[in-house]
Amino acid sequence: MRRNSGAGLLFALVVASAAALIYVDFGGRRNGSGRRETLDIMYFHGGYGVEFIEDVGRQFEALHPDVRVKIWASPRIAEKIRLRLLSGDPPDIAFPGWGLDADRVIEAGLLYDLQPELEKPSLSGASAWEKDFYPGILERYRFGDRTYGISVFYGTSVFWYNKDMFEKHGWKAPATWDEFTGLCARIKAAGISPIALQGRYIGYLGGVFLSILDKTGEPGFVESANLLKPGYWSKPAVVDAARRIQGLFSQGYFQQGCLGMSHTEAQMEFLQGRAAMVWCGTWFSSEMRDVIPKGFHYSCFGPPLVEGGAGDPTLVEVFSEHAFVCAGSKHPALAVEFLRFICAPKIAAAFVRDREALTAIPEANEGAPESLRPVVALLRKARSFRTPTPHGNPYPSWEFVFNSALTDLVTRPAGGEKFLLTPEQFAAQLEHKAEELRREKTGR
Amino acid sequence: MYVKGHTYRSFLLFVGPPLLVYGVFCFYPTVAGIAGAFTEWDGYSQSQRFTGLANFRKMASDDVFWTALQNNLFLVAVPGILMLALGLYLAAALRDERTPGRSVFQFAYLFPNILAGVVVATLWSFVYSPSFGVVKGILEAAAGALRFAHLDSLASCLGLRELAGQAWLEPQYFMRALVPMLVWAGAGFFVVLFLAGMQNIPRELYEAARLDGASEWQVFRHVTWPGLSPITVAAVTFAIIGGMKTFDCIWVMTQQHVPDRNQVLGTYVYQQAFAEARMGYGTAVALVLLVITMGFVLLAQRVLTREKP
Amino acid sequence: MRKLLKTLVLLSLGFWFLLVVIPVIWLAYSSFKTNEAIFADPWRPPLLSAEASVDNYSRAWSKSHVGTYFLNSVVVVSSALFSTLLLSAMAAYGLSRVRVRGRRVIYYVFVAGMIVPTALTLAPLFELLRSLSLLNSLTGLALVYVAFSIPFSLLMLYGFFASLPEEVREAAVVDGASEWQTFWHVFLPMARPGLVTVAIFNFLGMWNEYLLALVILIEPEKQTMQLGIANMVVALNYRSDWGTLLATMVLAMLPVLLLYSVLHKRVVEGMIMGAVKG
Repeated sequence: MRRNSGAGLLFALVVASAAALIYVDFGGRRNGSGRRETLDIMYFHGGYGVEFIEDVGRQFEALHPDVRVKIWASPRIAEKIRLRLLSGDPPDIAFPGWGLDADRVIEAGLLYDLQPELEKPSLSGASAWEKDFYPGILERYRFGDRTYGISVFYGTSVFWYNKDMFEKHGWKAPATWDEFTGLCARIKAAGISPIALQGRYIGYLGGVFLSILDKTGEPGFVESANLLKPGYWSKPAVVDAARRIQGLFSQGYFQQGCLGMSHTEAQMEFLQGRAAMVWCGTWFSSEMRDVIPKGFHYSCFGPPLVEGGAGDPTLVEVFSEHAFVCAGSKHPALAVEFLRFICAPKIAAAFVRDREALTAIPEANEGAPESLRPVVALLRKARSFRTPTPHGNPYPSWEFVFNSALTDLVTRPAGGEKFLLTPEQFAAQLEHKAEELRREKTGR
Repeated sequence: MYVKGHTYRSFLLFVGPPLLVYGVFCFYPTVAGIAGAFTEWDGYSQSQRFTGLANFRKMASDDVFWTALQNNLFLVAVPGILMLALGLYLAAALRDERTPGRSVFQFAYLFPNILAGVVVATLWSFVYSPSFGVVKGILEAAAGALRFAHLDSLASCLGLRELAGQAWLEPQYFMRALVPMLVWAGAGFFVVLFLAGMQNIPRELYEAARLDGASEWQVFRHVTWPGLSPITVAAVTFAIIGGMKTFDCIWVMTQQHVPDRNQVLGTYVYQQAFAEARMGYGTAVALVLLVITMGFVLLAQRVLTREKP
Repeated sequence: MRKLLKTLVLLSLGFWFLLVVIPVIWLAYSSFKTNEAIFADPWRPPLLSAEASVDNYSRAWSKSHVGTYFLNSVVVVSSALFSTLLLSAMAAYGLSRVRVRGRRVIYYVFVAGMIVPTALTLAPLFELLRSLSLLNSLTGLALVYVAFSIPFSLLMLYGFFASLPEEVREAAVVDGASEWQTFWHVFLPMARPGLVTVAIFNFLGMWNEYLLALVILIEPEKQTMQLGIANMVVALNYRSDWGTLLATMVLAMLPVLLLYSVLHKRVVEGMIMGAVKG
């Protein structure tokens, strides 16, 4: 019999590698800090950065010595949150940012009802925690007498502009759409790109589009349109908005190559002075803080008003990064405790101060910096709000349909002059798709 | 020489464990997958409904599905043909053992092929970057060179400056931008494949052709090309399978956020099953992907083997 | 004329060589540059010490957790690889040498697994691993890798085992060896060249694998190298920390590059075998 040098080696390798695998896979589960409970938070790492929540986590740990706050932050956290919900191993608190269809998750009963907690007194001394927030901001995830999402970070979209450049050329922030297009023409004539666009995430352009509809359609128009109520997408207001948007492109008010730019790339273009304006949320200063050049002064103006429109001119679109507590959480009370803590006006105020962004707590927003004062004023004046997705979001795939059509509306095939869709075709296509979705839903 | 029972026991000893692992983690999921294609399930709830052919009917009217399929066909045909042609050419050039640097070339050509799709895609994101990419650098260098040679007008004629600033990864150019990357990564495999195939062609045929005074081209046409036909079938099969299976590079290049017009079936399956919680539908698309791929491969093999004299 | 043609052909070979090599070389030397240097002039090699930095690597390894990803990949791939070799060899031996009724069927059941597209198995695998509590675990991933690699490895090894002479086996039996001992001490060592080739082929496939890992591994601590790179592409786009990303890519490429350089011939063999049999 021959010596088994080869076989023995293989066997040893199999055993050794398996042992290493098991060790790395399961052995690493040390709760290093030795604390008894772990609060598992999954957080969207976006424009607001992670410093704030990590800081709050540390403060919370100091107040609760037997708790360890574990924060997993990522730009694609929504995907991971979904996977953990699917796998039956949810985190305690989820800040999905954008990208999670919270309405479906709520329907599947996977989130914790926060309504009872909202009725209890708050850390700021108010008789009910709910009173700490802007009125109406919690409606988005309120169904009947249950509320599932808490608004922590709060923002809206505005046009940021290069203050120094504007002063130098004597340009002024426009209030109406006509002033806006006139301004763009003047900027272009001066040899500068008027607007930087985050084309790869066409949703930004979608925001501009909807802001026009907010003003031109009757009150509640966009909400109804997003709920795919019959006939809304083929209304003249839609065609008009599409025409205005397409006009911006055909006039060359956006940078060349913008459709391939990510949001940080487009925002960089603005910061490097290659574009005079950029449409972005109030998280802009927070998001770009590491790369804003010294001595760069910026300010903002809200979406230009389309004169003669039927809508509420004070309407503000509201982006809120909601926080949810998962129903499968092992310590829901602790999770709620954390949320109360982070929403406490004093704590939240630190966010407004340090990150130059807004929260859903009016008291905290009092200390907003100079660049955001126009927005705070807008918020104070607003008589109505609109969220990006409608209440209940019955057609989650609509977002993709809309974005696809919008991309085609503004895309010109290699070197051509004609767009893939005319405004009329755009509206017709959207109405057609809406009809399909409506039929699919009832047909089921 | 062995007792029947004894033999069954040893069979089980050897084949049992592999069969168990394979059966549980590969065979069963495949069967379940095929079955799952006929259900509807969001992945959260425990209820999985049998819906018969509903998923397939939905697919027939699903625009994104057809776009994805189109893109897959594009990725099979264009990079496929380019890789086959390039692979064939390079292999033919390298066949001659006297070619200087032969082993170095061989070594280098195959290298991109062993890199992970993720790495290749990330690398090419840099290559294509409008801010500081390689393509931009080359085009700007070319423009600069032309200016140096006082051929400015030629440069602007070709629109080199504009091309340099181009965002190659914009949605409308994306599919086409993938082609150089895929060819770069894949050509080496075909070089190696064709070289191996050429080595199987008996030397006597070459010598006979040489003695008859045949030119290089004639040698290729009458000796090399026919001799390669079995390998060609394998090569085409690989090009088809590769093009249909594309996932990694698109997923990474779009930063995990694929616009509808640039979907391929692979990414569409993942997006439907996990991002849009439509596991049944996603699996159905995957099943259709399998069927189409198999269909193509069989068709290709049928067509190519029939051509044999 | 002939000379000219030959020169042109040689030039074209050289041209393609450059096209292949330049991006990789760029990657290599750029990974040692600071971010500012990369932005300022992407093409320049880091000749000045101000531009050069090993920081990218240390940052990648610890701050961006590339060390963890690397370890995870090593652990998953090595155990999956060796287990695959062992199990496939066992199956190849059993199917080729132990004459039992129905072994053809079993063989086809195994080989059928080769045409399965992973996309089709994603949803059921997710559900299966979840019910076994193996979701989000490296062990689960390794098991899946083994399962998917067995069909092809078996196919490649079957030929080896089938071609070994029966006399050797009979001689072992005469010596008093049991079936297992025959396999272990006689046939397995003889199949070594085949095993090496199969090992290389599988290593490449497993190390570079992405889709199954994406579905099975969820937590950040469990991510493999390829998942790590893909995640970093997104994360670093927010931070513009290209240097770290480049360093990570180099680290991801190193094992494969090493294997390729040392075992070039074998790698080629493996790929050819794969192509011809497939």
